Amino acid sequence: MISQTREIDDQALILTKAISSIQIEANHLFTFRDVKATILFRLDGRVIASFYETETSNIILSVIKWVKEIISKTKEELKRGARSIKYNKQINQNEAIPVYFYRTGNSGILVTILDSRANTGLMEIEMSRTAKRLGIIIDRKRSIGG
Amino acid sequence: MKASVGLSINHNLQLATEIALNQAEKKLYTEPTGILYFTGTHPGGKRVYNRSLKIIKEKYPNTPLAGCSGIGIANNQDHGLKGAAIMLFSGISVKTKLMKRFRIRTKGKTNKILKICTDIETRELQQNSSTSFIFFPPGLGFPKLMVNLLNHRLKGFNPFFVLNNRIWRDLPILSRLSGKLVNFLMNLCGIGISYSSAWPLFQELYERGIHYTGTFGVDPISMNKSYQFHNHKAYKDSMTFISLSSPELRFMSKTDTGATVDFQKPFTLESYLDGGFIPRISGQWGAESLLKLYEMDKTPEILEECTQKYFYYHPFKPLCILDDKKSQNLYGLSINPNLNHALITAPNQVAKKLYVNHKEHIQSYICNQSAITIENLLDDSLTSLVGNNTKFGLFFDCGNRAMIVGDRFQQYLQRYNQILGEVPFLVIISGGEVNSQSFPIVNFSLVSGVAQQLTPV
Repeated sequence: MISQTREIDDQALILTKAISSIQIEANHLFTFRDVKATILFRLDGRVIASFYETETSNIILSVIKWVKEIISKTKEELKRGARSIKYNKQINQNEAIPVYFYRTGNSGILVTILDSRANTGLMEIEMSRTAKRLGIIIDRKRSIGG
Repeated sequence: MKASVGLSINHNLQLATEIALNQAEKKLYTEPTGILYFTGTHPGGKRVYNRSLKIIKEKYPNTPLAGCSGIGIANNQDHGLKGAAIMLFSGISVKTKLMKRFRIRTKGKTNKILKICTDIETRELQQNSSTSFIFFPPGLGFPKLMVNLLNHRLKGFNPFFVLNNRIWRDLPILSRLSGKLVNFLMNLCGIGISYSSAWPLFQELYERGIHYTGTFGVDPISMNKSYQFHNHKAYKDSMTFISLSSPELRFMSKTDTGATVDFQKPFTLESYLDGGFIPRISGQWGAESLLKLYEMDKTPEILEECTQKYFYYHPFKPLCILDDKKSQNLYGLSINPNLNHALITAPNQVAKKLYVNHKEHIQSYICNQSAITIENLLDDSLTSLVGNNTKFGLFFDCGNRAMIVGDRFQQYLQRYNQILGEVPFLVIISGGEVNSQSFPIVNFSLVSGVAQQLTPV
């Protein structure tokens, strides 16, 4: 009986570690100046982790709302084998915000909303790297070192 | 993390390697963890390269090394067609791998490389570092027969009498057969234009989101072989690759072509053989109708000059293929004096697509590249990549573009110096370049790769 509970405790510990490492990974992406918001969705559309500035402008909030509407459509495309999808969300006549959808593992979608003048070359590398790391964590259900 | 560069232009490759190595060592101070080694083209084959690699081996016997031979090399101090260029790294974990005779049994070797690459990447990801691969696949291989060694003095003798026969062209069954034969020979002896062997690998890596750049080695003296270097030894027509991984660095890359599409000159293929041969274009022999397209059919003397200058081939303006995504994919078209067919430098996978679904999806046009557009492109692509945190740069430039720039090449290199400042960099002039950010472009392009120090704010 004691050994069983210990096993359950160990599993719970591993899972909590995994969950916290998911938070750390998503937060790492959010520390970049160009990133306005990072949200990790489950394939069914529920949010696992989200980071956005508390003083975010209405524009970013409206983009997040739009992302929630569109997530079911992108899910189908990502399931079919696309690794990432990029949208340019027009917010006013002169400005468009780049929004990236990355497949993370078998059961997640990472959404990143960037600044309109962001260095997309560097950010694409960083986002795909984070998506891959998150994918490893989600698929194995345990945290990874480093 | 630190990188340093050494370069020496000399006909004696051993001397050049020694000088370049000394230069690089002086700037690095510490023991290197990896070496990139590039050379110009030197006659004498494998032995010459091996002798010069021995000099590096004596100093650093256990340091992984990779590289290839190209048409030319340059950095902030010098540029030339013969010599050696070395880049030393410290503080980056480096791994190298070799696949011998990559053109034969490509499928198995491709799968092997894919497995190695994904393994390296996931291992490095778990240690929180980011990885980039640099590939050196075998480049252009034209058959020896096609280079007429008698300098066209024997006009009656045509080594391609079989392919120039009408039967091959007009009967679809026979043309398919001959195409397969050419393709088989291409893989076996390095005959034909064989980017096709490396194509599935790059496509697969692109789909998996693995970051890479690459350059195809080429030997402009013979045009039928290329040399790759792996851990202090030279190999002919093999595939070597190097992985650079570091937690602090991010490897950014970009491809640019600097070409303007001439929409008034659309282009259609009527028949196509594997290996890059195009027998018929708009109802005529490929070579004939290409000459008409370029408006060169009435000035044979230009053609003659071209033949003398560029290894008995006529490198022409690029052909642009606009695919479904409307991105520009540039490939070269050329004519051989012995052959009635035109030659395309696109891999079989692309050229077949062009031939089959041409009218429905994909359009192709003749393109223009000039010295001015290329210089503008250089400004654009470098300034967007290079910043205060740039640690080193590697630039793979197409040999054909160097020909277009011509006498202004020195001026063109000075632009590199102005933009990059004191950042160590190398320019390798090669025969084909690839990049994971814009996958299908292979020819007439500049692939610029830059290592950026990470500073999240």
